[in-house]
Order: sequence, then C-alpha cells, then structure tokens
Amino acid sequence: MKQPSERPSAFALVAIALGVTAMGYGVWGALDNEGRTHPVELAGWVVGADLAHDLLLAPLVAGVSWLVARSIPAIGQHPVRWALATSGVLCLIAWPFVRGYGRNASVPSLLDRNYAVGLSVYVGIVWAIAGLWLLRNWRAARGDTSDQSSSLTP
Amino acid sequence: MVRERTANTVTQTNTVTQANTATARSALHEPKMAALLGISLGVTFTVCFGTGVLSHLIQYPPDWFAWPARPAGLYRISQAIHVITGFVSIPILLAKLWVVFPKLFEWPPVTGVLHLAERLSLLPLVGGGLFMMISGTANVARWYPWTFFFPAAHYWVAWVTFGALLIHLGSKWAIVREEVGRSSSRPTEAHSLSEVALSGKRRAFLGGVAATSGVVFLAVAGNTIRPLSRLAVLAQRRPGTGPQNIPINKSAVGAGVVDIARDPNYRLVIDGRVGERLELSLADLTAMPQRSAVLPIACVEGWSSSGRWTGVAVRDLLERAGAEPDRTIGVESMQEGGLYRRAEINRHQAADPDTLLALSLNGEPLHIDHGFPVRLIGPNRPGVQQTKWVNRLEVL
Repeated sequence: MKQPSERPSAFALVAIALGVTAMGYGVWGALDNEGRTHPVELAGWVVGADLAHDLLLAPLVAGVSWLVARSIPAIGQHPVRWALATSGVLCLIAWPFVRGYGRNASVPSLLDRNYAVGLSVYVGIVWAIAGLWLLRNWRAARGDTSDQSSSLTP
Repeated sequence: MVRERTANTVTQTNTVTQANTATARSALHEPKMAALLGISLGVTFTVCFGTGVLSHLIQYPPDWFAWPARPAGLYRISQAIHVITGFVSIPILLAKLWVVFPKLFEWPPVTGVLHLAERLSLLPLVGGGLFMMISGTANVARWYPWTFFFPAAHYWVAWVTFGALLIHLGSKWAIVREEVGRSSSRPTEAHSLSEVALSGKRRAFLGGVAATSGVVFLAVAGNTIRPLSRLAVLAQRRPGTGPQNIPINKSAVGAGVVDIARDPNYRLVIDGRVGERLELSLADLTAMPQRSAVLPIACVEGWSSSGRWTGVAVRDLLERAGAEPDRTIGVESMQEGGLYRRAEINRHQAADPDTLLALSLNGEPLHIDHGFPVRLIGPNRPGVQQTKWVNRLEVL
C-alpha cells in the first residue's frame, strides 16, 4: 500500500521515540523480573496470540464471511454478520467461565453462575435482534423504494 | 494529495464491483475505517494502561508515590474502569484486526527501513494487545493456563504493547490525519456519491462494533455496577454473595490458617519502631474504643462489594504503642506464605481514622473466611492489600 510521502511530523517522531522507550522499558522489566514473568514462555504467548489470530481466527472469519456472502440474501447480510460476530465474541469471552477452570471448592461464591445458560440467553437475544433487523430490512425492501434503509447492501 | 487518495480508494472500489463480496470487503478494509477503529482502540488502550499502571503503583509503590486514603472508593472505580474497558475493547480490537487483515499480505512486504520498523512493531502490538485481553479475561475467570505470575506478565506486556501502540500511532499519524480530516465538509468532491455509499457502510460497521461492545459491557459490568448485576451473565461474582454477603477470593482453608486463626491464645503484636512493643489478645482489642466504617472490598479483578466494618483504628493502636506519626506500617498475616501475606499501609492511610483492624462485619463477628479474628480494612485500598488473619503490625 501507499506510504505517506512527506517527512514524518514532529508529533509522529515524538510518539515513536516515546513508544520505543516504553517498549524497551517493558522488555527490560519482563527480563529483569524473569522469576515472575518467565520471559520465554511469555514471549511464546504473545507471538502465539498473534499467530493464532492470523493463522486460525482470521482465516476462519474470512471463510464464514465468504459463505455468508454466497448463501444469505442481501437483506440478511448485515444482521447475520453482526449476529455471527457478536455470538463469536461472546463465546470466546465466555469460554473459561463456561468451562469453570477457575472454580475453587473452598470459595463457592466464585464463578457461581450458570454461565452456559447465561451465554445461551445472550446469544439467543443477539439472534432475536438480528431477526428483527432482518424483518425491518425485508419490509423496507418491499415497501416504497424511497424508504429504503441505508443499511441495505446494494 | 487528498484527492489522490480518494481517487485511489474509488478506483479500488470500482475494479471490484463485479462481485458482491469484494465490494463489501473494499468498503470495510479501507484506511478511514482502520483509522476510526484505531482511534477508538487508542482511547480504550490508554484508559486501560493508565488505570493499570496506577493499580501497579498502588500495589508496588516507589518512594515518590503515596496513594491517598481518600476518596475511599476511588480504587474501586479506577479498577472497575480498567476491567470493563478491557472487556469492551475486545470487539474493537478484533474488528480493527479484521479491517487491516488484507494488509498482512501487502506486496512488496517491505519498502524501506521505516516501513520495516512499522511492520515489526505490529507483532508486539497485535500479539501484545491480544495477550492483554486473553490474560485479563482468563484472570477474571481465575484461569491460569501458564506458569508465569499473571500481574507481572500483564504489567510488563502492557508496557510493550502500549509502546508498540505509540510507534504505530506515530508511523500512521499522517494517514490518520488525512483520513479523519477528510470529512464530509467537502461534499462536492468528484466522487462524493461513492463516498456517501462508503460512509453509510462505515457507519453500519462501526455501529455494529459499538453494539457488540455494548452487549459485552452488559455481560460483564454487573461485577461492579450493582443495577446491572442481574444482566451480568459473564460476571465472576454476584456482589452480595459469599460469607456475610461479601465475596472473598481466598478462604481460610485455602490459606491454611483454620487452626491458627481459631487459637484462643491469639495475640496481635505491634513492634518495630515503637515506644513500647504490644501484645494484645482479642479481648484487649474488643475492650478498646471501637469504630465503624462502610468500606468496599475492591478486587483487582474488577468486582467490589461494601460492608460495615467495626474494629480498632490502626492509628489508635499506633498511638498506644508510642509510634511516631507519618510512619509506614507493615501488616502481616498468619498465612505461612503467599505473595499477599504481608502488605503495607502508607502514612496517609495509617493516619486515616477509618483504616481499621476490623473485628466484625455488618454487626457480626468476622467470618473466618473474612479474616477472623482480625483483618485490615482501609479506605481506597486494593482488595489484595486488605490483609486477613492479621497478627502483626510492624512500624517501619
């Protein structure tokens, strides 16, 4: 892609200098406190998170997005995409709660909700909202063209 | 310059109008969308970083930093903001990464030294940003699938990530200014029609991201914001549950103090730089003037819950032991080990009349899981520093 052609502004240079300093401080701190940070394992998590996104999550989303583009009519594109994305984010966040990895027999008040049920209710509501949105798009598409929702995909 | 960019974007759009999917993609994966999401993330990351560094300073204070005792609920608010902002950033970060994903495959991969530096700074930015959210979420779920100590790892990676964010901001500043400055104030531009269509899609996408963040907010915020508690299906706690209706993180069983805490020969030792070393029994403490205060337990994990604590003011004990004012106090627990076996009370907090060694909670003797026989509770302190099962005050 295109690179900004002009010389970097003073603001940009200050931001970069501060950024390099902060990053250096972070790396130094992680190494200096190696007994607590376990730098090699920690670096593995940081790089691993990046790779998991670039090699697994993003291609998966791209694949689903491609399928949605092929199989869902135009009025459903936005509602279905939003519902899929929101459900996906909720499931990712909910995962350790639903699995209950952190439960502790001596602290029963910790993680004391039924997270699977809560997650299902939220996902259900998200899809209900998507359904209403779809209905609105459908009615708008049927009705007066001047009344068309701006959210329709041309 | 501005016109060139607009023309570029539009040409791009035109070349792909044949396929529906490609149109949708080009509308999303354009610089202005990336810039707007980037600004949002810049704000949320800065809030998380600021509140996180503050929390770190409070827990590991350098010489120049003394966290005040007032307002009593400030830490509760700053830490709730930290955790909730982190959660609502998740959809924004994922959306931003989705928008810029095609740039991962740009060709040629490197055009110069600056470009190389900018691309290299993406690894700590993306990996670090994702790690902050994964580790933060896992910590709230009390899940530790690693061997490092979460607070240390989360803190140092935060510096790396925030540094990478500043580098990224600096290297993209020209584009951000250009894209965001290129507003609808010039509607007569040649390609204004395409621009209008584009801005409609942009609004729809950004609105969708905001709505997803809103859903995440509702799912987690009730940890702290009581009226939302029933909606918080992904909250770690219900405020108001636990022994004596206040949550705990560590039980007496978990801390291995059940027998020693119930020992009738309990003594609180006050020593260090004192006029007279004191050893007080539970009866001695009960006989001293009692003071009550409504104070929250504010956990670093974002939840908080208030109770009415009654006990002896720490400053009364220090006065009785003949300690000089303005001293830092070490507070020790009966726990054999653990990182939170000992905490410190700084001079502001030691002087505050509501910094208590509590003997009772909401009118009942302390539950053993709340630190029976004696626990520290003070205004504006992180929960991990409200030491339980206290048996020693050391004047430093």
